[in-house]
Amino acid sequence: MNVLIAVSLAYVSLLFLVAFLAERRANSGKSKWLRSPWVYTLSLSVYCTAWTFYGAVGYAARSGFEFLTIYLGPSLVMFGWWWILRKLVRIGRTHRVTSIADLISSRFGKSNSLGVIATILAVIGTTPYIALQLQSVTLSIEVFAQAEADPLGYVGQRATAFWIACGLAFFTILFGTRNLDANERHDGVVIAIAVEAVVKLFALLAVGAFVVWGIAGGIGDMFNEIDQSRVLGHWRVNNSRWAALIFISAAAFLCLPRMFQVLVVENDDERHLQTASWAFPLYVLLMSLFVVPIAVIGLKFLPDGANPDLFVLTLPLSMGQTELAILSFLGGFSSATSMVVVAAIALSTMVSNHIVMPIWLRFAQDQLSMSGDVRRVVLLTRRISIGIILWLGYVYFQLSGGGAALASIGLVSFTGVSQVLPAMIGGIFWRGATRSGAIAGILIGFALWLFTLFLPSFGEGVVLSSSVFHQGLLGIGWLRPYALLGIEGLDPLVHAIWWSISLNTIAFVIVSLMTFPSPQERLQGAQFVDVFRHTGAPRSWSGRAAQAEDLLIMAQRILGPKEAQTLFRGAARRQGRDSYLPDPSPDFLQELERHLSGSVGAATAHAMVSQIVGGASVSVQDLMAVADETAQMLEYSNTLEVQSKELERTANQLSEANIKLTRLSVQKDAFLSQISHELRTPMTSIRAFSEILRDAEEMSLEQKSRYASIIHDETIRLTRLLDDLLDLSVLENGQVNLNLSRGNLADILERAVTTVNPLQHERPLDIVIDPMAKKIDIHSDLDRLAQVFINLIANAQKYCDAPTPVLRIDTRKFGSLVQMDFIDNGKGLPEEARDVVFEKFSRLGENKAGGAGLGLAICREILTRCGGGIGYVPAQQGAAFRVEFLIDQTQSR
Amino acid sequence: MNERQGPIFLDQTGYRGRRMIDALKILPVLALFLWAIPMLWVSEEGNQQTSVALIYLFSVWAGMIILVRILSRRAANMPLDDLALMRRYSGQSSTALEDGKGEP
Repeated sequence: MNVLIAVSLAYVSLLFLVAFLAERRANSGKSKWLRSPWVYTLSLSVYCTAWTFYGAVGYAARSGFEFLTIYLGPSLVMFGWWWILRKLVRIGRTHRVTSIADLISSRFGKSNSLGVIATILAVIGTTPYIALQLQSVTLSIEVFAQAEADPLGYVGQRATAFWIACGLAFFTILFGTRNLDANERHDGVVIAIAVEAVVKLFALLAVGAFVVWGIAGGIGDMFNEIDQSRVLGHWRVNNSRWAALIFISAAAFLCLPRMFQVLVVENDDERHLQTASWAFPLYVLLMSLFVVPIAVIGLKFLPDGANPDLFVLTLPLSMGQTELAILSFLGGFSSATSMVVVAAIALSTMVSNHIVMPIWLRFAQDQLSMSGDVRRVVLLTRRISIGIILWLGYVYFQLSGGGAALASIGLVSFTGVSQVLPAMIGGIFWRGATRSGAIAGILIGFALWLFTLFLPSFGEGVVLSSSVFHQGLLGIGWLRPYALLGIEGLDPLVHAIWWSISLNTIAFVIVSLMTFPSPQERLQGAQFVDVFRHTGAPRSWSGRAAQAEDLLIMAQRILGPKEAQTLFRGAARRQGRDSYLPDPSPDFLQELERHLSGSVGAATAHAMVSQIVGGASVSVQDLMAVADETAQMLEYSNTLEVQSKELERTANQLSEANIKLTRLSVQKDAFLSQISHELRTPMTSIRAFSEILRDAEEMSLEQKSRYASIIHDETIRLTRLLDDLLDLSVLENGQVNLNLSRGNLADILERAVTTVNPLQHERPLDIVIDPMAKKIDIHSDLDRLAQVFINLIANAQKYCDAPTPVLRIDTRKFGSLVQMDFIDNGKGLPEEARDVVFEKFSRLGENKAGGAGLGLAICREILTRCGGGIGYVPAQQGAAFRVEFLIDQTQSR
Repeated sequence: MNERQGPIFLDQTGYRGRRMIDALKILPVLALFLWAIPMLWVSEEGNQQTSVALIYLFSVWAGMIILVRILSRRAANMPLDDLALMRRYSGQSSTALEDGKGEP
């Protein structure tokens, strides 16, 4: 017993050492030989658990040759690697799938609910299996203890199982959660598993060889013994079970979490599959080669009540071969521990990725500063999950009493985890598979499995009452756990497999056909199903140096050579390397992404970096993020453009306004200077003459009267000027109210003519009025209009220089306007004066006729207020002014 | 141009390779068929001796392993996927490093 303990501890230390060394070599990058196809093949042996090592013999001794089916199924899957495994591995590597739950969830649009369902299914299916391993080890230790007449007893067994579980948890946490590898590879664990695979095989072959040659005496004798065996002499097999078990073992080979982990996740090179395709069937062939001989000999030589599960141990022991027995024990120990370690890693990955992290991320969104936080949380979650999973296995072991119930659990577990098979296979081959279909299929399969296999496995009356067994659920005869739809007589396992898988598949197909997938689902579907069209042969393993260089080239293109090289060299120095290329560690990649995102945006930076480092095409998620960013940038630049156009327009408007203001200012200055000039002139005369009157001593009455008249005239002139100014300003400010009344145009003209009184002048103006004027009645401010006419006629009188001046006034209606032309026969206005003449203080000549030059300006204002205007008409016989105003002021346009 | 006496069919290696891949694809079906035969052995007493049955099963098993080994060897020179296949037959080299592009 002590020898056993010593040997076991030595063996365990060896495993730790191997795992540690392997990790070290992997980290330093020199691990080419670690990743050989043989290591890969041996790691697949984790399929052969203690159930294989011990249980196969027991199975054979009890029920014949069915045990073979457990290995024929996986062999078929490996033979057919071209069909399924090749695609699975390619998909797994391309999309960085981390577990089977990840595969399913990722295929169906990164659905978290599917991930959760698959994870829960896996945990429920695997926990009993872990308990089975603990039981095997405990029983095998018990064998040795009993051989020394020192049985462990109930407490001893529980304690043994407990300490083994703790040891396994320790090993798994130590080597399974060292760091967060983006590929989820655990080099140390894989090497340890490979070593255990060799030990397993060697042990079983040794025991088998001993049995055949040591006990039976050769191959020929062995066959005789077999044929003469009471139990195993004749070929007996239940046909439906033969077929069903081959199917379910093949399905489980693909769907078991630990198998997916070593087949797909830990796969380093697709070409390893080629080797494994024949090497793994060879391995299981060798493992099952000696099962029947051992069973036969055990049944013959060992007492009748002996547990056939432990023949592999008890046979050598009973024959005195203690060393062989210890070797055999190590084999069984290896089988059990390798299964538990890999299963714990796979399950903890699923639990942390699909259950814990989504919840944690949702609640800790704001506190998430760096991904360093996330990594720590993930690792912690994994470690806790491993502990919990092993604890659950231990609890199950305790509760089940370690009896025969556990042995059948193996197949129950297979059937349970296989419920994801339709969704998985459908997902990788059929683009029409949808998330709803997968959920429907898996849930239905899961429910049927629970009802027909899992719950009944606890025994009648434990979970399901016996009335459910015999009368059916809710008393419905068609819902009996072992006879659904009333079909009786089927073996319970076959019955469960049949109903759960077929209804699962039917539901999956029908619901997929009826539902419409989301865009994410469709994209993922295309990527998964057509994976061979989108990817080429995989990158070789020695990509690390090449990756760093590629990263440098890309960074140079974006950041510029100097900045990129500085960044890389700094990172390399911090990593303790003296070259200019750092190792593409997660920290460095993060830093690089941060630098790049300043230039190209975070999503683009991430996509570019992961393309180079991952060696895989960019994920749909990344692409959508890049598209979002680009759209945002486009939108931003659009708004910038609009804004800059507006700014331009505003600047233009401002400059125009500035020009106008400058002009107005100039005008104002001119106006002020004009006014002061105009006012000063009469004031000067008034002052001068009043001084003369005051100072003159003797003056004749005639002289006094003359001077007084001059003063009087000048004041009148001043007054007129001021009146005009006031008038004009009032008109310009728009504060004047029109005094509307009705009248005849001809009358107004007559009035105007009379006021001007041309007859008093030396060259009287002959005024010819168009008779049309009599016909026009207007409703407007008649006084103002008269003012306009007076102004024009007076101007004509003043400035017409013909010998016999004639002024013709033409009138016509023009829509709602009256149009009048005042044409004289003089010289007309020179061209440069034509526009200017309507401005304030513009006069022709110097001081001619004593006007201030405001007349036409006032006319313009008045006529504008009356809805019309005034203008000069060129090319008439003389000066021609056209006047327009509304006929009816109340009906303005 | 009929001076060549040899076979007229060109690209024999490529054709062979593809047929090897076909054989590889059909192999599991064959294995399944052979392993389903035990179901035909009626399970009455004294009908089938275990030793014969075991020899049969294990021989099929070993035979399949050898066949897969040979075919995988032959197919090892063939590219594993459509993309590299197309590249190979369009004259480009198929190295381990790929550029991730789609069909040419």
